Amino acid sequence: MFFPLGITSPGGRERSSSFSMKTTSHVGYFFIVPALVYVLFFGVYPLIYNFILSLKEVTLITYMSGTSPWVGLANYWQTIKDVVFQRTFTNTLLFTSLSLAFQFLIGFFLAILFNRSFPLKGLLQSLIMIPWVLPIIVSGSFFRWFFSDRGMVNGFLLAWDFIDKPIPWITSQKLPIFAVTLANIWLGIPFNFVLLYTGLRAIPIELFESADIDGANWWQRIAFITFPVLRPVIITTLTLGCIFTVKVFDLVWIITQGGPGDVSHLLSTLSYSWAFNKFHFGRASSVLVIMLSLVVSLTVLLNSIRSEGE
Amino acid sequence: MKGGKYVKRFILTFLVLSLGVAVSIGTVAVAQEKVTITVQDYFDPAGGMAKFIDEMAVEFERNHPEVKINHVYIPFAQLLPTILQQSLTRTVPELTMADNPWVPQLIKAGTYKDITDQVKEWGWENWEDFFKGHRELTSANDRIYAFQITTNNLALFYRKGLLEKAGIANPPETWQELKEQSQKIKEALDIYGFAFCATASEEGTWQFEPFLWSNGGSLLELDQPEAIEALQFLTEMVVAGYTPRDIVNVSGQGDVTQWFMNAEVAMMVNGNWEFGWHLTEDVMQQLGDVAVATLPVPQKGMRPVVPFGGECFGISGNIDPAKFDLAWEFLKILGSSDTMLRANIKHGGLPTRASAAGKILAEKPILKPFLDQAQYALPRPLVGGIDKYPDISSTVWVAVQKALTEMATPEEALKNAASAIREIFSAEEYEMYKNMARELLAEARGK
Amino acid sequence: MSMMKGRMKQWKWTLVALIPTVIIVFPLYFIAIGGFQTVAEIFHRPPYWFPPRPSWQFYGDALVTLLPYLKNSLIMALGNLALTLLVALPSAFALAKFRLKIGKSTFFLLAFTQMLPATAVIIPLFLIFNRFRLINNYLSAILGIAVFTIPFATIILRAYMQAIPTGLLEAAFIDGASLFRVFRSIVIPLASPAIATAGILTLIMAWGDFIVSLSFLKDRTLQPMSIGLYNFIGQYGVQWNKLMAGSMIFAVPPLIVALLAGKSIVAGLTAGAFKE
Repeated sequence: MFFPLGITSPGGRERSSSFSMKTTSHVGYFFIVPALVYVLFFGVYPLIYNFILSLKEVTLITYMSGTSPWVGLANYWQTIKDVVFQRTFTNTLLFTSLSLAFQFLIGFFLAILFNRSFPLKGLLQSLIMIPWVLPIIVSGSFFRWFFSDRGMVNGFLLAWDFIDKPIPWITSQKLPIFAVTLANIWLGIPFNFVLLYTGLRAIPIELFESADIDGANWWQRIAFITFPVLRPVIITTLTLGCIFTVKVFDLVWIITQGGPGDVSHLLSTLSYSWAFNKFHFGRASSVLVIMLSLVVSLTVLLNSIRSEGE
Repeated sequence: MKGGKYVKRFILTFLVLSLGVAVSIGTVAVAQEKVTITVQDYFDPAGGMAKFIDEMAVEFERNHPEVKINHVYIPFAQLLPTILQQSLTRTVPELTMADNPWVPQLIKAGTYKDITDQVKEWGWENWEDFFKGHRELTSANDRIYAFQITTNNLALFYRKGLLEKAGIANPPETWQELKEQSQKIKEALDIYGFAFCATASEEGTWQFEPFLWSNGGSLLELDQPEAIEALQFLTEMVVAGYTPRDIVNVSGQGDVTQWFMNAEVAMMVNGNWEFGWHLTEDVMQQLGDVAVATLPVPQKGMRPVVPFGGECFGISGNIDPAKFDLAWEFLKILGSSDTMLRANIKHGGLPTRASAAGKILAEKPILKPFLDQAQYALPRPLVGGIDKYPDISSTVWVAVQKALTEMATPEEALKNAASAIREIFSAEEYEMYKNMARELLAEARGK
Repeated sequence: MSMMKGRMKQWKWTLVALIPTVIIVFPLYFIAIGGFQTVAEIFHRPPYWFPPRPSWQFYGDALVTLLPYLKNSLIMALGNLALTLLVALPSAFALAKFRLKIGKSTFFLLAFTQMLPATAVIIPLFLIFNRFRLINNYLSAILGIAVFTIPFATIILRAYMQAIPTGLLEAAFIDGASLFRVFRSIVIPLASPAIATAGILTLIMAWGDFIVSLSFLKDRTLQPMSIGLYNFIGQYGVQWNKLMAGSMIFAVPPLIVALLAGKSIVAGLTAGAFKE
């Protein structure tokens, strides 16, 4: 059987899907130079800037005049000891894992569902993009209203007598983080859907046909053909999803502003709040750096799974 | 795929063209014959104040044909970060507005230019015409840096019709009355008696301050009984169901006005800007029973002590010296009594100069409670650690929200807040600011 | 008879797909009808399922306010798309197919640039752009947005390009084709569904950009629609009906592009791009 993607058998992979010709590799460098230069210049500088800021004690005045003193890791110690930060860190982990899991699963489910032709498919497909296309100020405001004590969820539950007092989705201590997570899952579905869908469409029908001939059932098809073939796309989707989820800011800021109190802060909103509400720029940057470390670890973890497969 | 090939070519060409357009517009320098003065603010472009500034700009351009005024709108939430960014790179526009609580620290950071000499030339009586609180706010070490051109404060709005239906003849004057009336309203009409704004933002702190200060509490001494009583009162209103808990989650004070207009709450704490915003003349006529009174006080005979709000304009600290005189001319116009009166009539705000303030009452008698309160209104930064005020404010709103959502008792929440606030300052600074606050508060309360 | 059965079977799938779609899209419904009501009606409790007195006025007002910003949004989004694809395509190809020494680190570097929230990046970015006098024109906004979109598109395209059979490319080399030729005539056509996908995601990102444009564009005449929407968000309150109407207007162009791009993904495939 000719397996165009170089797959010799389900579960295994032909080695080397990259060039081994040395003469072409010089040109290869040339190909990535534009992106590399761009990223180094404009992308890495902000990273370094924030890192340096986290090592200084910065108030509004010293920030403007550029005379902030170096304090080494003092910001980090203070940050880590802060109870609010600790709770925020846990929030972020919870938020990220739940969001990623559900966004991915729903996106994947939808991708499989749409991987066939039926009437109005194009229309429905583009409708699924809506969460990503709507300005966050509006969709965020919608969710704020939706979850409020006198909002839609409670209205529905009260009207049908499931509860007799409104549930404080965003006006209590423990629930807001989950309400915000739900809104974020909604937000991330289009992204996951589109990437996985395109990946799915790229799987040649022959693979499935030969599996049918071999008598495979639907979950075997998913496990032994879909997943392995889709692996780079899945890893990329999860990686980008993880990166974007950890830094989600607007949505949470609009729905709860990290409140009530400070119970629904994520690392991103906490950092912003410390920077622009309290003007503790140094400490705010330390939160950012910690957030970065978190994302980097997760990214490295995800991508190491891939290299094992190779 | 022949058709597809052409489609692709077309798309490609179009994209390249767009990039080309952008590059060319970007790199060709626009011929500048005129001197551009940029005026930056967060006034809603469709609102009275923005339109008024546009009119002033047109007139100014007519009198100074070599000038072009570029009036830029920056959304409220973004203005302060934008000014910070601009200060960092010394690209603050010629005239920039700031919300009054930011001004003391912006002055310290060098965002605004010293205009004391220009004011002297203009006539010192102009400066003294500004109310004391505003003068203190926009100056430092006897040097003047900005003018506050409009102000506002908070009072009690109530729906007379709803109150009457519940058997209440007059709005509450004390906290106890407020509570009792709210109870009556709940029983008779099954709506909320009272609402205010308790968001996780300056709006939340600002709406708490009247209750705090009227009871003698201070931002720098939140663990004292006066402060705890104030928060306790508000918490009880929420717990008893007289005030919706959603107040911690509204998008702003404007949402509370919507509830008020929809007759879901009978009384609310809100500001005089609402007359230029939601409660326009048409709406007032439609609703028919909107009235205003000064805020209820803890006990009869006390004075309601409110924070003053409003915006200030100043000249950029990094202004091109060639533009300075023109910028000052425009600023002078914004700061003159007559302009200020007209602007505030359109805007729904209060003038900050005594000469204008008296006159506005003739135009808008409903502003009386606000004007009465304005006499003793406090400048927030001066009773809140000056440039540390934003830090204090964010600590306060967290405590308020925790109490209102019953995550902590008012006492616990405020004790935590108070110790966090003490840590912001050195021991001497703390004493100094604490005493400053006590003095100003005592003065305002008439003690 | 079997034709009929076939069509029926297909509509079954439409219905099944409709369920999650409706759930995902239902907030849109409320936002859409919000534009037909007054603010008081929007705040009415219980919320209206149909506008009681629908009026086109607010959509009209919103359109009038937002129209001047449309041109800017188009120029910036399309310009950004062009620049992004121009830089991302060759980079993605190189990272996908070449064993470069700096390949892995470049990939991580690209990923790193995506990790900071826009609010943390904007001040340092502003500083650096300001030094190069790149502020306050379309180009600066395009370049600023590209800081996010170039790595983003590169990472996505790389994933799909890895699926292109290397054997095919090596065969072309053996036949004597230059690398550019291979790239242009084989890789790009094969990757066109992926390009469409990366393109639509990039476009949506650029279209929705707010913070970069706000920081880099000082003139109101240069600002895009995303900022235009904030005309309805005042300091003292939000004009919800116009904001909602405006958001619908704002969402239409990218949705149309998504619709077209979706078709092109399918079209690319049926033309045999991935079939052998």
